[in-house]
Amino acid sequence: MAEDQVQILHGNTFVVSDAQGDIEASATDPSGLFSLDTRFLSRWVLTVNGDRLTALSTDDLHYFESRFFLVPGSGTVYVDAKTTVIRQRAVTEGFREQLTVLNHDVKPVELTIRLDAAADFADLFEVKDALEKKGTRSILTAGGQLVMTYERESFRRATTVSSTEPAEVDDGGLQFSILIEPHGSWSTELDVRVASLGPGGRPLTAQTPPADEARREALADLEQWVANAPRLTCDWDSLITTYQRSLVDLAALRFSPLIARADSLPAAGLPWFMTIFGRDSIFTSLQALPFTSEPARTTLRVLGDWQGNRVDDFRDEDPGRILHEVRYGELTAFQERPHSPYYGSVDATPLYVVLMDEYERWTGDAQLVRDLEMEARAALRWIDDYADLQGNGYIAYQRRNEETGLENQCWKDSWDSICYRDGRLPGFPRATCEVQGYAYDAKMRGARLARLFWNDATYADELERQAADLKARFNRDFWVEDGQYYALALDADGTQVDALTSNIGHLLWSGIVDADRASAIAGHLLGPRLFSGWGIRTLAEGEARYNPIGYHVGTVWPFDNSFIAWGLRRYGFKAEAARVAAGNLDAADFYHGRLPEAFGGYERALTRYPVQYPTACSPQAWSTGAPLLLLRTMLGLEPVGDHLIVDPALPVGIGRIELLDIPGRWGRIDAFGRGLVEVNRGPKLRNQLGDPTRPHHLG
Amino acid sequence: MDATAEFFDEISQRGHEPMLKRLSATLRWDIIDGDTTEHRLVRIDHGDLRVTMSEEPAECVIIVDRAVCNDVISGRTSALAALLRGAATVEGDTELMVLAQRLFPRRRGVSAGRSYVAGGGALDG
Repeated sequence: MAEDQVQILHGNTFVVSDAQGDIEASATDPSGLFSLDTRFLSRWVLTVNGDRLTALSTDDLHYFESRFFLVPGSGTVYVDAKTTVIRQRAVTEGFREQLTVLNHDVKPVELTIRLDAAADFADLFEVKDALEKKGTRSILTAGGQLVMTYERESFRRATTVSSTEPAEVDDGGLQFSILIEPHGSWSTELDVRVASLGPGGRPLTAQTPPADEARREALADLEQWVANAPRLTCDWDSLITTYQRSLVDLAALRFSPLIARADSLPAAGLPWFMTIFGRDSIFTSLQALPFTSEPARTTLRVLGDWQGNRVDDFRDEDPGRILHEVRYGELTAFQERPHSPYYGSVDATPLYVVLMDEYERWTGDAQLVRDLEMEARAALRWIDDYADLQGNGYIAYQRRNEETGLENQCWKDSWDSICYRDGRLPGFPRATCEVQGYAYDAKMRGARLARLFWNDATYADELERQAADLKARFNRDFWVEDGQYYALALDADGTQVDALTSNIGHLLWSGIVDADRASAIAGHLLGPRLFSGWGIRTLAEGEARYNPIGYHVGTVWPFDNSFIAWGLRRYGFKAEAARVAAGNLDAADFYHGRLPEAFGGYERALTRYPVQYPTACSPQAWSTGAPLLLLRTMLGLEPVGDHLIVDPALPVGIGRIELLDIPGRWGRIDAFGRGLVEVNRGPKLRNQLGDPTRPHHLG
Repeated sequence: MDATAEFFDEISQRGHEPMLKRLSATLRWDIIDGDTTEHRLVRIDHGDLRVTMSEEPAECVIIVDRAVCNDVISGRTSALAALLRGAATVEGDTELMVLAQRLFPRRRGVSAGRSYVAGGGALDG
């Protein structure tokens, strides 16, 4: 995505425009006004007397509001300083744009202001794949409004553009002929409304409040969200920036699915993934639990409601399976894509049980655990009844929808991510190692829930027996003897896929690693082949497919690292966890507190800054959650009964971290961490290795 | 007897759905068949099921053509896809519509994906 593109959003409605506020989408250009995965505006171009404008500045006021200061004339050739145009745009259901024109001249000025508007109603998938539309578009101009409609059988979507000041409306937009007095101004509010219509022209979604009200609510809600979160103070300034950024971004990423009452849960990423992803919502909810339990509660409810109910090959659905992704666009509506919902994820189902247990540990909300007992049991049943595709007692994946299903159903879902040391790719089904860890953890945690809340000690015993058996088999079958680590996967023949990867870190988090092997695993994770100095690489240097900018074969993923840090803590490797936290949080400083989805796996000493992987989505929910989980691991926060254990182990160079008002079953609790500062090395280590000119932080 | 008729007969006989143990609610299906509309009211009481032909108000009302209803029940199309393309409407508490899918027959779905988009038959492609 180009640097100058501006994104603002509200729920799953969002606008991507250029720095002037204009939208000029082509079949494949991903700008526009989107809602329910449909592009409701593909052209929105402002001209003054036929001239395009130049941006003096663009301000993101809030995640749902932007302001553009513009002057007529394009670029360096000519700038008319006598006129200023201000566009202030807030996203609601559609958007509102306050357009203000200022005349700085001593003479009156006559201007023709024009807004070109067009809607191609492309499905997000069509934008990616440049597909042709199958329905028909129509345009109606009446009563000062421009109404653009798309119809295909009973599928109907419409965009309505109107203005508070009278406009001449034609098929291509709105025009204003205005006279502004000396030093005067003119203003209008443009309203762009989107509608997804069902039978009888009724809207598919519930009516929303008027735009102004929605805007006020959004602002009050954001302030409330930040105010409710624990307060962080520390002598590491960039950590405070990162923390604040994470809170605001997490608020922006909340998303109310079409069918979940008024609740919201974390969407996967902005803007292209403003939808429910089982895996991403679960991981982000886990990361955020010490700070807010709302995302976890909603995620459990919504994913529980949508749990698979029958065997359906098109959607890769099974009874008990937790969904992978939901989409709302035309291709989903006509079953040209399977996302209604699509269930092709191998890890979301065990992780669902893991989240339920972790949620109860923090909140003490026994009621939800009792309400969702059948869902949790069905998820645990899925592991045994539907996921053992190799017939060897391990979870494996192979899509049944060969046309539009997902080939790789684990988090490393790119085509080459699951590979042998020598670079060969295994056949299907594939049983990746981290999923076996999740299954082990799900059974152990499920046993706790069964014993404490479902009044079923027999089931609890059975789950623990199964977990112990799985752990023993796993440590036998996945252990790569000549490398002293766990294989990435077992292939269709049960042969080890023997590449060294970050996946072994997730195994520590799940607790499936035999205690006497943990130090070998920690050694690999912090060793030169996996640890770059900024973080742990997805694939170790030296493997055939290693590439420091390969999506899942060499880059560093902050989300991945945050769970590995949690795993290191689980096995007592406090200093190692702190090193991983420090590297990732140092990297965040280079991105003004907003960690990207992934950055390059280059050696830290080589590049001196973390090279961003070129990706379209920012912020990404589980990258936003990563600093939160890293804070948890540095402070060693662990709920035990009705208490919160605090066992800090800070990175060298941090003197003090205080997290105040941590919410949970205990009410609110403060956590204090004191660290070591190496005084003989002078300034704090937190001065960036990559930026020696950075001012020293004062403790 | 079509899938819709079989479905309401079957859940009436089933009497209880364990996957709906947490739910007590009323749902009504308004099934449009040409000029006539058939009403089926399903009362769920902690998973216990009772079906009547009643038009009385319910917390969730699903309005759908009979052919589309047949396809959703038999798994040829998903309820969400039908909703998105305007082939069905839900009034009231939409979460109940999601949960109501647990009443559908559990046998292996016959979803033909893209070849089935609307009630009444397969399309090309």
